[in-house]
Amino acid sequence: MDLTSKFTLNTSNYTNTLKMNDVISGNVPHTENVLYVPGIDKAAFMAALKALKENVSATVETTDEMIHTIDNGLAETNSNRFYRNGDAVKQVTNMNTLSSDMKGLMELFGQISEDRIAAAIDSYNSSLGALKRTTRKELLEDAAQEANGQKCKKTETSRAFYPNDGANHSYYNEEKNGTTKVVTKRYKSGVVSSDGKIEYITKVETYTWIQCSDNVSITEHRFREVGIDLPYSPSKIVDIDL
Amino acid sequence: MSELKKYDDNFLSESISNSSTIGSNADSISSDIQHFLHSVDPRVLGYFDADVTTKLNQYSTTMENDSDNMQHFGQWLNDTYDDYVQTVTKVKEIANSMDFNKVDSTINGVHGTEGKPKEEEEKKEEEEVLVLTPEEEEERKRKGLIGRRGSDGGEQNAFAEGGNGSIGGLQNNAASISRGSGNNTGSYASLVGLGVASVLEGVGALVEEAKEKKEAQERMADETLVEEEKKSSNDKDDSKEKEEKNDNVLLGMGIGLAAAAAAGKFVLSDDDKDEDEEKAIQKYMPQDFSNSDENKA
Repeated sequence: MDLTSKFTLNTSNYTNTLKMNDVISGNVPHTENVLYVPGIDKAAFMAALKALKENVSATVETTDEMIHTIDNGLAETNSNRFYRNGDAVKQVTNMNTLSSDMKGLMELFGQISEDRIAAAIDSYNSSLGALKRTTRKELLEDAAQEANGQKCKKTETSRAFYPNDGANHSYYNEEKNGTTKVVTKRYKSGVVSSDGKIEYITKVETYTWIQCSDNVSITEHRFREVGIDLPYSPSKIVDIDL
Repeated sequence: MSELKKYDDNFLSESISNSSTIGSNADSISSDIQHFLHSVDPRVLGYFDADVTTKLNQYSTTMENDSDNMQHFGQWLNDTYDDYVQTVTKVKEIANSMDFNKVDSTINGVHGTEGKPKEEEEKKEEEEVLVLTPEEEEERKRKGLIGRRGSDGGEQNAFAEGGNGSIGGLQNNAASISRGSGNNTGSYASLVGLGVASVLEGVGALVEEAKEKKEAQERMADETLVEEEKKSSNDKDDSKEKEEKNDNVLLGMGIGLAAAAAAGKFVLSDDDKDEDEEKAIQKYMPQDFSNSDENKA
């Protein structure tokens, strides 16, 4: 199972920084990079580990049997040249060393608990998802706080409000004062004229105003409305459950 | 002397092939580990117990080295087996070129009488045996003439020492022939003189043939001794002594002649293959006959 391609993203530099223990314990800074860290493909890893164990075990069993057959057979020759002289001893010893090494490898495999690893991967992926959600929201809030109050690049020459009736009436004060949760601008000018029904504002200066929502998608939309870049690259975000 | 060796050509050939497979398998294990380590999520590897990943890497390297060692093992086994096969082939070639009927004639004649007919030699020996009294026999022993009757050269040592029917007797006989200490006209001494001996190591095949010859000689010796017993039933002790002597002589001679065919380095097993000829000779030469010049004298 080749997982290499999965780590060829630009996020590869961050993958190794998010150690399983750190993520599980919450010991990870809430930075943009966290959003780009993929979860661990548990199925792929477990399949690779299983395949390694099975393949090597089968090979070891076959190989060890052949080694012992040769060793015993050469011993039965009762021969210097085949078993007892210096070179023979060296060669037979090397062969038996392979047998010992394979035995050690199998013992090492025995120390690798598949169940424990599977549980750890589940925990990691769960913790990473929560971490991403928290971090994403925090990043948006921080970015909005930084953007709010900034003077907008575009200026408006005039703006009419309908304080007394009409569809926009309910928005008048909120919009005018910039207290509404849905507006993305604040107006900094007094009423210049009014015909009784309509107030006209001229010499309009607008300022960014992004009100964050618990729904990050809505917040991201407001960022786009005011032309402020998001504090991360949404397309790079993987494996996140909104 | 080590126990009889057991060579199985099929096993050795198969082992050479299997050693290559073993090496490939070790290499495959190493590759599997490396593939695993480089393909799976490193975060999980980092979650392993502290040194598991390190050990996996170490085992990968170890398996790679073991694979190399197995390649060397296969080459060594192949070379060793080739050497063994070539040696056996040469020994058999030499053994097949020998005229064992002629050897038998000489052996039964005991005296190295240039391959005279067996019956004639037996008859002559019987006559001589019957003539000797215990006193005469003892006198001949003191003079070192036992086993030397009517003959010069290398076979004499076999008469004296080869009587135990052991490989040592065979080797002693071969040694004495090789040294060319006498004018023995046996065909095997000639072979040795021609330098055949320089090639061969005594391997199982020859030993087996020598043993077969020895057994044949034993049977013939038994037959001869039965007749002797019949003819000298009045002097059992004397007859028994002669029987043993003849038996010893025949056994040693039989093995010795066969060994001579393969001799040069009078090594009948791998155990002795590294010893030079002179050491082999000294090793197996009985003290009384270690000097051929003395024998001649």
